[in-house]
Amino acid sequence: MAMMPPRTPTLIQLLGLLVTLAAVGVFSIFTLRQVEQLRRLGSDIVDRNRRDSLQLIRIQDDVAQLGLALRDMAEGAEPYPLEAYRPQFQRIREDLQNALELEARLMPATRTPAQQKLLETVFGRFWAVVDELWQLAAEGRTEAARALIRTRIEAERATLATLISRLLIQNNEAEAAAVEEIQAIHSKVERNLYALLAAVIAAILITGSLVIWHDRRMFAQVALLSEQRKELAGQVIRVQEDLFRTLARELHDEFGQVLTAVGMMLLRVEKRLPEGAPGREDLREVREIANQTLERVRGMSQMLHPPVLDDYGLERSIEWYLGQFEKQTGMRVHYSKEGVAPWIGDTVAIHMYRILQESLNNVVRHAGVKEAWVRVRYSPEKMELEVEDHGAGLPDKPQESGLGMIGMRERAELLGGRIEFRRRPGGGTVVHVEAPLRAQGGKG
Amino acid sequence: MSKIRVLLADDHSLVRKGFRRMLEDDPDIEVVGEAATGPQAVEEAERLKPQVIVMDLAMPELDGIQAASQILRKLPETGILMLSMYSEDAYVRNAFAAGVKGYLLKNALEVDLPYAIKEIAAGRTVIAPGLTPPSQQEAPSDFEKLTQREREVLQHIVQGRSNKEIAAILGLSVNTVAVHRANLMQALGIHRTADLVVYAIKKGLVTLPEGPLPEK
Repeated sequence: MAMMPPRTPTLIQLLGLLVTLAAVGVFSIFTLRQVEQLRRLGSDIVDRNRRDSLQLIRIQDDVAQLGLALRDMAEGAEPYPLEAYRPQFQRIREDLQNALELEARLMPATRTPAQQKLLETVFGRFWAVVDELWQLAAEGRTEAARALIRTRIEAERATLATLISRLLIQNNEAEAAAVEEIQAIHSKVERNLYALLAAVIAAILITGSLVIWHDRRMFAQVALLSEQRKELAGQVIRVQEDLFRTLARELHDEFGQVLTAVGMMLLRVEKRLPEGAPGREDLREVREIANQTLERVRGMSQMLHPPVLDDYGLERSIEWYLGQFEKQTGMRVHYSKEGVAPWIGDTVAIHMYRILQESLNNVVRHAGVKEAWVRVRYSPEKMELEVEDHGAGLPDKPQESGLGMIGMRERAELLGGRIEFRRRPGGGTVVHVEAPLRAQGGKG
Repeated sequence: MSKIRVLLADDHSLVRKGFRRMLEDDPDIEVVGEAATGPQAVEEAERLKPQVIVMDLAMPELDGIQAASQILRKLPETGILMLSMYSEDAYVRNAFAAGVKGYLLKNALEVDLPYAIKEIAAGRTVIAPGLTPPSQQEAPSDFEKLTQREREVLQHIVQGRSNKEIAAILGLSVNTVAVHRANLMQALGIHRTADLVVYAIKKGLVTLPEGPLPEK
């Protein structure tokens, strides 16, 4: 099947991260600016407005007191001379002076310079007329003074009262507008917060699902590759065994039989020649060579695929091989067997046989000892094989164990069994294989 | 004295030719026929009734040992000389258990073949030097005598399959399967299929299937 080249998810992940960071950054800047505006609106406008309004009320109050005093003075109902009101006016003027100074400093943003100017001018005019009043009072012209109060002073005072009222209203309106604006900003920030949350969640979802999707695909590919590798390994081993078997048979049948026939012909000719005849010794030597070659061919054939395995099965083959092995290597093998071997199919037989061979060869090559233990256990369901030595033990690094161990694993897997390589506590190695026998099909 | 009538059974014509030449040199021996497979050997033996059969052990379809036991069941007087490339005890033991009178190695035909044939015709036993005669071998259990093929057939029999089914599974002829069945029952000393199943269960070769029996 077609395999897509695996693409790295880094780009997608980086993109997702960037989108998220950008969203958070933009929102932070926006929010900071909104908060700044809120602070400005809150402290600069509302607070200043309120404090200004307080001063304006104080001024209004003073102006009202002035109005009451002026009314008393104009009516002349009280038994006091006009001069008597002067200290009260002085106190109010000082208070007004202070209030106006504070007010001017707080001047809210909505106040125009023209309005400020007007306020100063009207107050200036008012105090100028009042000074005129005290002049007239000092001169004893009480009636003229009272007339002045009723005409000009009261008019100026009314102007002042109106002006301040208007300023207060203006302040109130500005405050209301500011509060409205604050609310608008709040709701805007809220909306934006939701938008940001949505954007971040979307970015995380998209990035996350892409990564998960990618992971899943990678996993599927790894699983597929592992499956294919296993299949390939199995295929290689099967092809190898088929080849060995074919070669063994070919060697045995073709070369072996031809050499047998040659040997026979030579023997026949040799026998026909009289004792001591020229060439008879040569013929015997040629026949000897043919026999030795036949022996070699037979040995090779057996090494490639022992005929006992096909004719008498695994149990007998193991026993036969152990005998051969002891003869060839000088090793002592302690063999034990439990249970009765049922019929064991060719596949299980050849793989178990190879695992035994490989394990014993490992003992010879690496363990550095002269003894090994082989234990076999049979039951209708499974067979177990154990090869133990008390030698050098498994190498520390797995790669040093080499292709042999990989091959044994592959074979055990092919049989649907399992294999273990254990270190013996007292030194040495135990190879333990288990292969199910139930699963064997009718075909060997 | 009449000539010893000999049948040659070997799947290699070259080898048969070699044997024939060698035997034709001997005035006391007459090669009366040839066979290239196990079943053919059985057939020819029944037809020609030779005194001695020179039989190759490794033959297609039915190997030499199996052909020998089948022939000896019908013609117990036949002297069979087994020729083989294998020196393993199991082969030697099984060949003699089947009733052959001689076992020689093809790769060491030092013992001359005409001499071996004459010994067998005279009722004596011949075995190649270096081989362990069955009498000196550790006596195997009945079950251990069975070949790989016989064990496979046994497995199928106790699972309830007929000769026909087994033949289909193993890619053999029904006759061959019947020979395997007869041979393995003889080797185990069992005469009925039911006893064969009991034997297999006792031996721990098979376990009884779990659950109810299939309806059939």
